[in-house]
Amino acid sequence: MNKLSTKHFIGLENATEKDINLIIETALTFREILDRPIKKVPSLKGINIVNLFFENSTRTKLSFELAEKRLSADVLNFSGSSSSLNKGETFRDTVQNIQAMKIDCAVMRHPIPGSCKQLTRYLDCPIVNAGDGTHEHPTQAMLDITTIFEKFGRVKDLKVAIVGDILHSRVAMSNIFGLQKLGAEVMLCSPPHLIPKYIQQFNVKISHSIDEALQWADVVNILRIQRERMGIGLIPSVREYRNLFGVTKDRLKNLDKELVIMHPGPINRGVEVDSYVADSDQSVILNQVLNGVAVRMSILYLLLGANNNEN
Amino acid sequence: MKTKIIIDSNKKVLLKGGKVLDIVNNQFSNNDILILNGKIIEIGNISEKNSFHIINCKNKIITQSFIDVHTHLKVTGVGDQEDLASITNAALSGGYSKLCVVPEKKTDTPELIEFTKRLNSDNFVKLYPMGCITKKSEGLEIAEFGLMVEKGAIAFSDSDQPIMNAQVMRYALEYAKMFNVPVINHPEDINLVNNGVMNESSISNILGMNGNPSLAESTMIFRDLKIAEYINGKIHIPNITSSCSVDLVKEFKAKKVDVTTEVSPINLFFTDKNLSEYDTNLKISPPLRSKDDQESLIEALRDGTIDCIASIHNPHREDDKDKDFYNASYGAIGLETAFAATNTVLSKNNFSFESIIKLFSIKPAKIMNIEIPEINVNKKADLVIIDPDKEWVFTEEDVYSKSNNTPFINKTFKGRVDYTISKNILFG
Repeated sequence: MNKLSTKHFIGLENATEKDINLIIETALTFREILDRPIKKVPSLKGINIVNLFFENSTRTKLSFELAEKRLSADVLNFSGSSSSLNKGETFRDTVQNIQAMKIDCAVMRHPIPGSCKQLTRYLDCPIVNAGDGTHEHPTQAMLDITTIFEKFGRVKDLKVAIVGDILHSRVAMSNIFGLQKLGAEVMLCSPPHLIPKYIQQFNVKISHSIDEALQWADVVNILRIQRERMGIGLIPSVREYRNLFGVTKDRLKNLDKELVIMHPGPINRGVEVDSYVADSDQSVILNQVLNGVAVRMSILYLLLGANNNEN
Repeated sequence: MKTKIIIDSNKKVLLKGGKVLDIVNNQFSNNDILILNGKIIEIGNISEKNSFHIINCKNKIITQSFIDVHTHLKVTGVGDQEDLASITNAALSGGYSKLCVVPEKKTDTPELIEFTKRLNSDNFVKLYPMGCITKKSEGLEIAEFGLMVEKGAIAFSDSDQPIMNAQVMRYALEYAKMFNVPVINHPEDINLVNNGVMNESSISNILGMNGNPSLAESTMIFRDLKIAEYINGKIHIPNITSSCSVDLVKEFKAKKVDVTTEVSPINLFFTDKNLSEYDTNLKISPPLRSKDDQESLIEALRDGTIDCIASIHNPHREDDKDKDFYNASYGAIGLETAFAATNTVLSKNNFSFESIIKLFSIKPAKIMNIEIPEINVNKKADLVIIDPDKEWVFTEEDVYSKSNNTPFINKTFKGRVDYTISKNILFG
């Protein structure tokens, strides 16, 4: 029976190449199921999964919930904003209370880096990281990588440029780890103060020119510029950012090749990417969303399904 | 588990067969010591009598007990925070009999200095309070240095609040010159800290945590050293952690600026690599740095750029540490482990035993103008008995604070304080 080599799925830093490939392969199988008229399989029947969302999230939460339901798991939703945390209950007490209700798996989004590792100290069940601050967002990276694999049939030797605010990104490190493990080259393209100072130690290329990045890359993954970063001196203005780093129609037209365009969403149209680019044939943005469901089904199945079937 | 043994005032204590290191005169001798009611009454070859309380000191070293230049007391709290008994036991277990106490509850008036002094009345560990540099530690107006010194303030510090306004720092350093006490400013520029919770490095990238660059520390230290140089002030720089800070201190010491520094044993024992499990007991300010920084701290202790070891003892309730890394409090307890941890690292780096002991007694004494008694007849018996080669594992049993926020649980140490003698008690 296929299983991941780890109990939890916390990040790609320590994931094995074998596990990453297994997730992709399994995701593509589930992807076929998503094209069927009835998109549900019984793999996780009788399994209880709780989605702990201590931070707002729309697409990640929907994607996980859908993945869980399509695997026939029973789903419990918890959101930090409407919880007893507001009444002063600690994180530890909150999650241990939920554990006491006999949960088989916890999926967690939390604003603080390291909180998923902390959760492994409090709970016995498998834990899936749905983004812990700026630490890792491994399911997003896996859906990005799966989409690249689906498009090219391989990841090895591809050139992937990640463009945008790397410093505050939850997904950049996960993508770097995952892509490099499969043999891709990674470039980070951003203003210097939005790239972590010591990131070069991870064997990535650095560029401060969007034209250079587009020229070099096979795939460009455009990160959202968070509007809350503006007005605190990090980005002088929208028009300045667009001028220096926007992936625009003109910039794309100047290339003599077809780049693959990715974006984890939500998109700021006209800021980091033009509508023309986002909606073009080169864009795989909506494939990413669909693959997101398949990848999350794959990870949950590989953590929980094998055991379930044995039982 | 060590215990406190109270000796009758007419009972003599004999320390038999030990090697005596009088750190004041920097002399080793093989002598027995006889103590009565907290005083040394005889030194030499003393024969045992049945009426004595005898401690076998074979293969042990007897020297003066330690002074800590940086203790957070936390005794004025409620419930499960520290009390005078727990801090006393923590200090004695680590060989300390004198603690310089950083202002906790905004100790910015002579009345509050007296309050801390009053805690001394029947305590076996002597407390030396520091006063705030600025009123309410707000960094705006200097506090009543003169009145506080009269009541016993030995230095001025706003604890872990840095004085961000350079002009206020200049006033403080100039004004303090009248009293010949050091001004101690937390070495971080809070704008450059930029909400960082660990050293900015490739490891902070991996862990996804906001980086606090060594630049934040060295920038503040450079500013303060320039001010001290300009107005000829007396400055003590607390908990330095980076090679860049070491270089600056070295440069200004060469220019004869009146600067002293301290380092915490945690920085000698751990680096930012140890944060991979997000252990909040390793959340300190300034943060743990790299291996290279650690090596430069050790070399700075060797060449005297760093003057002494500070325990930076900072107890926190378990609930304040059992949090995510961002929201957990800064600091760890350190009195229990300071000597053993330091001795473990420095003896491995070929420091002599007496050079390590100096970092705990004679050098802190010099910085804080505290007198250490010689080991001689009619002098106070403020002593420790140390087994310098003992290998032992530090466990929760060895924690005497009520708090147990220490990263040293299950670490192996070389060198152990077996007994601390203060007034009429033996702790060991």
